Amino acid sequence: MDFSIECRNLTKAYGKKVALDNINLKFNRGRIIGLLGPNGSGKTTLIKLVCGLLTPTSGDVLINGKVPGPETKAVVSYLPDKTYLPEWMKVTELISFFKSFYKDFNEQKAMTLFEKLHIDVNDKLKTMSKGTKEKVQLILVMSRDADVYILDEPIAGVDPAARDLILNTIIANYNPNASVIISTHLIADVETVLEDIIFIKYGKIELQSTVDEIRDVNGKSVDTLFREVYRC
Amino acid sequence: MLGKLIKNEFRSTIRYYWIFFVAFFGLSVAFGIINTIMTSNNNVNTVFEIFAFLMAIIYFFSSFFISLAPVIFSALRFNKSVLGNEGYLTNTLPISTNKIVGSKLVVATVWFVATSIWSTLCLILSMSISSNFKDTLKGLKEFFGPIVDKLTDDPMLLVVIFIAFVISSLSFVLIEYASFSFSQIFNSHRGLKGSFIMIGILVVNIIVFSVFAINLLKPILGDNPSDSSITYWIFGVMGLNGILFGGISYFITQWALKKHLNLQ
Repeated sequence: MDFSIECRNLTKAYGKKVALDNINLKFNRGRIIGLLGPNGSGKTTLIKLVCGLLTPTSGDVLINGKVPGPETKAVVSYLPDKTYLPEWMKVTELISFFKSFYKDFNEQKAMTLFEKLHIDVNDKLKTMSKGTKEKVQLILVMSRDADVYILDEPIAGVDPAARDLILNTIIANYNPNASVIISTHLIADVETVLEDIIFIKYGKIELQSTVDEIRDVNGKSVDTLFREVYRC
Repeated sequence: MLGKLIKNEFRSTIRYYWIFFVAFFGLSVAFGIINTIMTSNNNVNTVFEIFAFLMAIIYFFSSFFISLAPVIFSALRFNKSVLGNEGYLTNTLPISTNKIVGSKLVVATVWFVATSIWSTLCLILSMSISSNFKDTLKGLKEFFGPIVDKLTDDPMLLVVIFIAFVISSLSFVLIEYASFSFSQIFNSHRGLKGSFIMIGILVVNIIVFSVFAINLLKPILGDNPSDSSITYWIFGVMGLNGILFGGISYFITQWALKKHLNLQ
């Protein structure tokens, strides 16, 4: 199969409010995809549907041809935009946790990354700064050999130097046959690593293209195009 | 996987339960000692009397709290780890919803039973310190003697009572889970709405149990039922009531988590 995720006539409504409106999308394997849009555009809703945290109102979302469930969760590595790990746990305990539940978790890779980023694995999460917690979460997610990585705002709330470090960590450690989906507002920072982009607006797909195509055809950066498309 | 979930759930919950167990044990010992001093000494000063009085109030409220602790903690734990931020971890594990709910249910029920046993033992310890162990045992024998005799004659009754107690605990926990899971359909004040739903279900539970126990029992038991018959039927109905409400709550929890989970 060429694509890891397929959305077919996917709609999600919260009561009368339609968050995603009849989306048809395919995410290719081995690509780094930027899922871009302003607040309330439907990015997080789409991500949650892929991760099995929401059920569609109508339509389908398929991961490796299967509906979201335990089988797909075993191949999707998700980083939400908040601290979601138990803060009382030490990093070593979190590593054991991930190792016991995810067969594709690479403990050696995780330990190497923690050492590289100077994170003490004997520290509890609650003693760490916000930025360090985010690094811990990112390392655990990227230490899996998943088919799909979904990173929701991986660089928001961290300083510019740390952003580069995080992006380099992502690029250096993902499974090259996997799809990496990065949802973010900070387009200028992530543009250099993106290969494909999807613009989503008011629950609909506004644009799906490659970064090269945007630069060659439109003669502008993704960030500039984003500002034009989403001009207030 | 279920074993790993249960192990992780115990590790997550034992962190605060052991504090309450140790604290209640300490308070029981302290209360027992203070009681001993008060009863054996006619010349205690006023300050100590006030202290003893305050200690009695603290012990009373702590006894009340420790009996409520499993109720509160199981609800808080479920809300935090399934419906709160940690839900992003729990609900993306490669595990079915059945196992997630099942692991929490098993551990919450174990804590219900353990807390009941521990608090009872601590109360007996406190009484034993206040009087002496022989007198405490004598007092317990006088109070519970007829019940113990009955249970010795009919051990099956103890089994029925224990099973009914465990089923009721399981059912109570499931009602909590169902109430808070169902509150996912709301956009705001989910905790408060979940609490009201839980109270509503518990009220209906009590009414149904009373209706079953009183109206159904009468024709079954006849005009002169024995104490054993009444006990069997009451605990039997309690167990059946627990299975009914527990089963319904389980399905509501599954339905809500599979179809209406909406982490904020």
